[in-house]
Amino acid sequence: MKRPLLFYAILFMVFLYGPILLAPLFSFNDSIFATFPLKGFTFRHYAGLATNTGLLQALEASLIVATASSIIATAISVPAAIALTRHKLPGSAAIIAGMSAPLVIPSIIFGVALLIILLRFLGVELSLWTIGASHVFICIPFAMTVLMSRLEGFDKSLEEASRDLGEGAWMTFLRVTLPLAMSGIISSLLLCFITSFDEFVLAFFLSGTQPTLPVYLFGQLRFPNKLPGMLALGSSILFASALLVILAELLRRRGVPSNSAGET
Amino acid sequence: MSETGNEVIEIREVFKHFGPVAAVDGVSIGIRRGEFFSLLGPSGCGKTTLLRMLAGFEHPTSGEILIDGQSMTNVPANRRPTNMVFQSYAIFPHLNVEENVGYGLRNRKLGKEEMRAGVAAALDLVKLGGYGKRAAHQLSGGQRQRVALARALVCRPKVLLLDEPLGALDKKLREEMQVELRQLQRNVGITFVFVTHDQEEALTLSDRIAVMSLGKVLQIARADDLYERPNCREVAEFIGNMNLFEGKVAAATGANVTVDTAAGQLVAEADTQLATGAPVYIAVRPEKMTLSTKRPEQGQNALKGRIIAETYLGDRRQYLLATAAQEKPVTVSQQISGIETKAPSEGDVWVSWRPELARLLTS
Repeated sequence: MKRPLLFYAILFMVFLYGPILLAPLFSFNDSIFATFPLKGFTFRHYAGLATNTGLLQALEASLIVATASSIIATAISVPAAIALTRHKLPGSAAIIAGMSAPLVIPSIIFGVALLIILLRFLGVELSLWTIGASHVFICIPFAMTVLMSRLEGFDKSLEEASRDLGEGAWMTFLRVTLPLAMSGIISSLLLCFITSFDEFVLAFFLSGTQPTLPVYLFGQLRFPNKLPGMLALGSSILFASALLVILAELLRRRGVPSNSAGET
Repeated sequence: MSETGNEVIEIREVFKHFGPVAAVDGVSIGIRRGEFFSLLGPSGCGKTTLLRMLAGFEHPTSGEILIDGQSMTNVPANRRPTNMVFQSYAIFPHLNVEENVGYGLRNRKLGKEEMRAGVAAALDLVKLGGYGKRAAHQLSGGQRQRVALARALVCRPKVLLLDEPLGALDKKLREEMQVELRQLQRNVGITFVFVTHDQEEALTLSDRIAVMSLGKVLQIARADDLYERPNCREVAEFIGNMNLFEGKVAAATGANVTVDTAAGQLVAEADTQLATGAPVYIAVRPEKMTLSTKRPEQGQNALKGRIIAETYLGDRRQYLLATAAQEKPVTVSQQISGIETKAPSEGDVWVSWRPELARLLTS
């Protein structure tokens, strides 16, 4: 690589990740103030997390919402992705554009709109259910993108071969389409899980008495002495999220080779 | 077409339109039980669409397909007594060889042992015995093709459909597989319907061939008939080399028809009655022609020309002759036996052929 480009790349990475890395840095600092110079190394803030009941409840709420919304979003997206990749549907471009809307609509507007609909028109009480429902919406574009790229990659004649060998549509789905799409499904689940787990704005608007982890974290930032604990929490979330995203990407790439053409 | 009732496939007046395009344009074919039948034509002639309609992946816009006397109109692909070898082979990448071959046996209510025996027998048939545990991605191109064959044959179809299965193989392997495919077909006695654009492959393999062009069937015949007695210009030019002389019927005496062409009067035998003045083509294969330095005796068709190119092909020599009569050079092929006299490359030569060796084409 050429030197100026390398320099640019390093600078880019520093600006991108430098500020984020401050959180883990201060989370190990033996002080309640997030300032330099650092005082000393400690795991104390991390140990404190384990005994914080409010935090543990928020973590539980987040896990429930993320698990449910990732499964529902993926389950909804699998048939849709098959329909859009396998059949020439009229207006499929419009469907794909419409489905990606949550990516471009500011979540604060989306959150307010959902809040009004839920409270005014439907009279639904805010709870983890309402957060989960909104997270399904914002997860679908991610699920569809991952699944469609997986499904587009495989030889259409594999499904025809299954039909030719005597299996109907349903068994063909179970015996061919699903196993071949499995790596895509798993990476979609992971990606949706992370999207929901890290989501703040919608959860903030739509949470009832039980906050999710990001909402809880935001609430705690009002108390200066809680800051190091929250930095530790943030660092843990950061680490876990990065791990899951990397795993999802590895799975997406490492799936069974999906076409049958030629020698490998 | 013979009405012997021995036909396993009857294609009746089948049309297939994709939008305004007629991919298959009124095709009727009867395919006999146990024969190796080829659909031959350039790409886009409708042969693959026709095959996919036999398999049930496409449905005729109009017309009917019968397999073993039963209409296939409302029979979906998974209920048809056909199996297909796909151009890409479509080997399931998540299954090993054994599981691939046994895929179609799930619905057959076979015991575990029976199934294993069936799969093993099918693998032996295609000479892949012992390869059962191999993963799909460990197979070479030729092996993939054998797995695809075994997977289709294990289901004991009434008809095996093959969509250019040799296209992806290199030349040597392709020739080997041609021989094997032919032997396999004789051994199992199943009707094969084979799609190809390679005329040599079709001639080598098939009992009968349907030549297709632009969605229509031009001629259905045995390989030798197709070569010796093409029924139109298109078939004549598609299969092998053919010299064509355009002209009009001048007189018909018995079987012999005299035709006025730009190269003078030529005589050919016709099997139908032709009216005087009817436009015809005289078609002569290059190897049916003789070269000589002297004017040949009476009763032969003869043209004077000059050799402009000569190609050595090992077993024969091919000459291109420029004649005064037509723009396109005449191709003459001469067997190299070691005792023949080589044509002179300088000066005029005569090319001649006997009337009964030419073919009279009306279209």
